[in-house]
Amino acid sequence: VSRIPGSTSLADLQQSFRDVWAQVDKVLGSANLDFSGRRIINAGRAQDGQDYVTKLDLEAAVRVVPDSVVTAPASRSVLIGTHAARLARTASPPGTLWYETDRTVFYVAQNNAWLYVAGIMRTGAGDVEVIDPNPAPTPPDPPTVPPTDPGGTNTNLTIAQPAGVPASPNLRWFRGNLCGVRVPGLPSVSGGAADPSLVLSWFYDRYNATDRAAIRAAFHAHGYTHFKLSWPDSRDFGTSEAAYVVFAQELAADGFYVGHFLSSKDYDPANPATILAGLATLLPALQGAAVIPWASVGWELSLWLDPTQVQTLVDGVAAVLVPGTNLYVHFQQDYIAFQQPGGVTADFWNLNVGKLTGLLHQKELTQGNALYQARIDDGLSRFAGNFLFATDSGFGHPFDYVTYEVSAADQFSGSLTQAQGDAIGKVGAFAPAQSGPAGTVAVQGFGNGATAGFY
Amino acid sequence: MSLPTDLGANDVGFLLHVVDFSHLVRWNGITWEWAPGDEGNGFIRDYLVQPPVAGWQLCDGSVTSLLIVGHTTLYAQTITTPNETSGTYHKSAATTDGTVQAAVAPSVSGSTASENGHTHDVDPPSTASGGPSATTTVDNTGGGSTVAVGSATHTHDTNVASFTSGAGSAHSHGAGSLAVSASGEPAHINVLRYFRR
Repeated sequence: VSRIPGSTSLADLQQSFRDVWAQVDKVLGSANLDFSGRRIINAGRAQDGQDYVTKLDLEAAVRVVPDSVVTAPASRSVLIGTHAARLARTASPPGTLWYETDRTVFYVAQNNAWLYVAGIMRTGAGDVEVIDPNPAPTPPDPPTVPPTDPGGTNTNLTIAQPAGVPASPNLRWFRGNLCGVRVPGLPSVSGGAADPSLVLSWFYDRYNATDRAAIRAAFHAHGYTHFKLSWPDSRDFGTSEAAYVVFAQELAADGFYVGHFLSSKDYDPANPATILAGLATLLPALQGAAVIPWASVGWELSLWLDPTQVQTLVDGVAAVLVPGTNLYVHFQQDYIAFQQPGGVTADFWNLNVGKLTGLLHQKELTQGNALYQARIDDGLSRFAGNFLFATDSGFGHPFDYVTYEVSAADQFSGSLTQAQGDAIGKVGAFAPAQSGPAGTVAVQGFGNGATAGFY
Repeated sequence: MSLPTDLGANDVGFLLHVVDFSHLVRWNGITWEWAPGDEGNGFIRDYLVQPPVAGWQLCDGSVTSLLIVGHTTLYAQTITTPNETSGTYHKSAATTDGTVQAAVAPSVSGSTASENGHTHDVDPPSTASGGPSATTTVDNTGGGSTVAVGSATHTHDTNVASFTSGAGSAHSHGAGSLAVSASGEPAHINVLRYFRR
């Protein structure tokens, strides 16, 4: 284009005007506009129907376009669906927004998780349960068959296990003895009882192959299906992770459900992050070998951690093990929960829906039989969905209550025989089942032996 | 719609409008708490008209529910409102059970001020003495008529004029059976007392 005439000749001036008008006609004429790849910048927001829209206009429009989980492409920046659908969709590009249609709130995808960002959910009428803080005692329903023990201890299996004892083996229904089986001829081992024949099952790695075979045989002879190990004890003993996995494989190969206690007040600091870091390679190794069908987050968690630390530990372990492993908690004597101060027991368990399968309960050693069953029934009633408890653990059933540790300390000290310990274990297993919104909930087996004949 | 029970650390700040109670609560990652701007509950407020929103219960002795936060699970507890429909004043205290305390009538103690400046009028009655205690007959004319005269002692008519006593000695009086009614009232306006649930 000759923007500037080369001379003042008429021909040059005419040519320059022709060139200029040719360009002007491209913009003002009837032909289509050709920007040759150039952008229109600093444009205002569209106002009238015939206005051009800007990128900002477009993005705003996209946010309100109705969508659905089924049809929305992964690249869409705003997804709309139900709460359940969001939970089912864990991986979305960072920054993706999700509008929950049922809760009317927004979440944003970040680091493969959804984070709440905005919105208010409205409850429905009557959603908030009203409880009487001082309820009048409810008379118990008369048992279908009166207990045979005049002292108030149920000995009727039908009352304890209305649906019957599940056939053996059953992963959720414990048959085990962590500390009670006597195997004559066993050697003394580090940390063991004065009576070397008493088997502390988590010291399994301290015996030679012959003795380990004898222990397994004794457990089979009693009909036990669950065998408990303890990683912190084995670690302190000097057992490597690899060797620990091999011991677990040995037990599993012999038909046991091998369980693992993962932390201990004796060998771990009260620091969930440190504990979890210490489990970082062990847990995948146990999973890889398929020898961790059940586990406890730790021993007597309420004695050496605070509620927040316990929950942090539960969350960390559950994130790795669940749902492939049934995960439990074990507290100090007579504890069934470890909620924040001032809270109610449901607070703890409701936080752990989808994480914990249940409780490995430890008996208060001084309780008599009737009181022990009464305490169990208090817990079973809660696990049955009363007292604000969730009715489902997240795994299709209520939380499980296992009468796990009932006499270990007394057997270790030598003040109880194996038979006496088994008798107490049977008392626990015979605690009457309880009913609630979750249905009828019965004790899910025993972990410290029980007198044979019913399981 | 049921209450959310699956909230965790990723849901911090989750806002829930509890419609039945007109409260806004917030999930702090562990428990429910009052959302900013929500003044909570458990208090009583005066109204001239019925509150226009849910979450208020007239203090008439009825049983209502109180929303409880601070826990993982949101729930409510039953609570009985005090019956304030007959006129009840509020008083600060170190503790309360939320019940109306019966009125207690004021007592009167002490005694009146000491006083010694007053007098009493005295008006003794007129009196007449009795007849002579003994008489003897004498001839008062020498002619035979006689008159009786006192033979020894005798009496006279007496009329003491009224007079005023001297000033009394200082003295006061106790409250005796004086009492003060418990139903007295200052000027006031009648209000409706509502309990925040």
